[in-house]
Amino acid sequence: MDDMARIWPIIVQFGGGSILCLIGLWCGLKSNYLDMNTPEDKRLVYIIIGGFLFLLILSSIFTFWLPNLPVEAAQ
Amino acid sequence: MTDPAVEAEFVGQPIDLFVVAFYFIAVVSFGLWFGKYTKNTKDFFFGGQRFSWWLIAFSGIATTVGSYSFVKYSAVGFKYGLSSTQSYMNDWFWMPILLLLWLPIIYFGKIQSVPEYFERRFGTTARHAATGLILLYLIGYVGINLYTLGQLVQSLTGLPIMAGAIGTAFIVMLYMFAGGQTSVIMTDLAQGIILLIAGLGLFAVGIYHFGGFGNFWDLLPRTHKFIFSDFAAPDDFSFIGIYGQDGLANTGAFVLMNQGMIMRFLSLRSVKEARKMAIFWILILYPVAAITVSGGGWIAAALVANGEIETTGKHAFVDAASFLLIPGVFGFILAALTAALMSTADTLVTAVSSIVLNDVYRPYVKPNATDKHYLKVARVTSTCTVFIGVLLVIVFMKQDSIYSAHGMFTAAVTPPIVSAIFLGILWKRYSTKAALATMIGGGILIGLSFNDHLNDLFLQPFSFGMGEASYKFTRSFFGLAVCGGIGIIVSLMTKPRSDEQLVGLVNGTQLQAMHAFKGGKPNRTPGKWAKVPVVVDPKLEGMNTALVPQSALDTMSAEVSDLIYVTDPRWWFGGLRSIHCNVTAVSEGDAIRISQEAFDYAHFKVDQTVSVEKIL
Repeated sequence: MDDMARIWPIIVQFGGGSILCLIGLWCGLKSNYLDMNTPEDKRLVYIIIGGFLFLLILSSIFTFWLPNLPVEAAQ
Repeated sequence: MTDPAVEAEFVGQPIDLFVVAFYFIAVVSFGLWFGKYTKNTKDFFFGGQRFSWWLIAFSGIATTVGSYSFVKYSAVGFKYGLSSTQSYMNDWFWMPILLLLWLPIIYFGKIQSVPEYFERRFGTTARHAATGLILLYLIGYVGINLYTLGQLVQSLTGLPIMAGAIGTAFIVMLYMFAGGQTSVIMTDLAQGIILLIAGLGLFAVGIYHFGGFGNFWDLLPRTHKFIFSDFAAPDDFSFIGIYGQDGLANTGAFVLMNQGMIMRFLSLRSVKEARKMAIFWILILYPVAAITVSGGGWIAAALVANGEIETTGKHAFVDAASFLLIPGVFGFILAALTAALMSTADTLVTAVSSIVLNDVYRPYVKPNATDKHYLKVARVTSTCTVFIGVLLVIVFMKQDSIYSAHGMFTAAVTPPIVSAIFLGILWKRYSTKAALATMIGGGILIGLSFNDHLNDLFLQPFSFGMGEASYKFTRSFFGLAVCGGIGIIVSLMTKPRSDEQLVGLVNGTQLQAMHAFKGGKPNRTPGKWAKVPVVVDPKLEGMNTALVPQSALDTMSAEVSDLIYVTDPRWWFGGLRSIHCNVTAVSEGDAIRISQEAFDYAHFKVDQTVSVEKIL
């Protein structure tokens, strides 16, 4: 994969996205609204991170792998 | 005024029209039936604040998929492939800010609208500015929706745009008048399920037609297989343009300033339910919805590549559906298309009505009237909003496309308010003068960027080397930059409000908001649901008092003075039969005791068992 025009979107989307996510998590932790001692709040943090990774994996699959199938068409 | 496509003919069979007519009658009847649950303004605007997460999630998806999505994303999917989904994949990143900051502020602060937040955070002048801008945004959006509805009806039946807009507006008006938010939520639940079935069904039928996903995939051009478009090409569909317009400005607006969605969040029974709803909605339903609205366009592209049909982007969904589906089923798809549009229109109309009543009529026209009077005004306002929306259809008919009209409108209105809310909730230093400067100064500069002589000067630096066709997308970068810049500079030069004035309105004060919401120290100890019989106690008065047996309190880890939620245990009611109460004392016996008024409001039955949950 040498087409940077297709890679930059992932960098921007998930780079910018990680900043927004970190701002939100920081707000929750700084205010003590997010209580990491309660299972419910801890689960929420895991889900936020898991959702981020899920979208990153999905985007990568449809950028680096599936567009190159079938191989003969990609070539 | 000419109507260039008026000669369009109906592409289906008579049975399809019968299915659509049956659907319209069913939606109106459904909405009218749930009108019986609307007894006050809290019910009319917030559905009594009692619903379960799944109900709001499905009804919310009908709202967000609604407006122009099927028409727009099928066309984009046909032309560009899977990258049509990128608008649906960038909402998750806003979730932490929504769930951990904005939601506790509005829910625990009992803030009913964005202008109300502006008044509490910045003062009355800011509220006026926000009310004006948001009403402009929402009423314009109602007009766009009705215009899209009219276009759709025209393309399907050949009727003039105005006839379709008026007809569907009348249907929306009927059930909204009866039941407000409760009817909107319940009809949107049905419409959400129908449109998901229709969109996914068409995609599945298409895959079956090609003999499997592999064959479908092989037919698509390689450029159609990427989830993102090229970074800075083409000008009118580049990734960076879509990211700026949708991922930042529109999603920010959707999360922070969309009155319709704020009302949906406030109609949930608790913040915990709001978290569940938002997670399921954005992480599960949004990707599914992306396939739902785009799938017809992808299938149409594969059918064209296979030499089976000829179509254009605008007609891709309808042409693919009419080619693949038998009469009657095609009618169901048409019903789903109108469902998508109606379910957005009804939410917007409720939102306008809420702002007009709560931010204009109640504080300035008639402050101390009865709730019954306000309910009447809310219904009249909803009806008037629909009429104004229909009049706006004439304006939007002059635009060359829905996409550009929508883009221009949101680009001009959203960045000032999104920036003001974003800085307002995050930064204590952000002052009243800064908020006003953000909205007024930012709005003026964005307005100037539409001028042909200034747009290059303003927008070229934010357009990543693209041409003028990219401006309607990249204008959001300019808007956010100037609004944010003005807000920060003016804040640093002016005096912020005191900490006491900011309690519950800014980051760091969420727990204080929670405390004020309950009227005491929040009980955050994890507990379980309790199941107990409910009985009427004739000595109790008012809607919000309950006597609860000690065993139930122990199960919930609750105490006297805690806020609890009492509901019919059958999950499929989704909270429709329920009520919030404060535990005023421990009851004798094994039943929870509430007043006759509360019992009637919650629609409980004599001798029934209820589920009880501690909220705080």
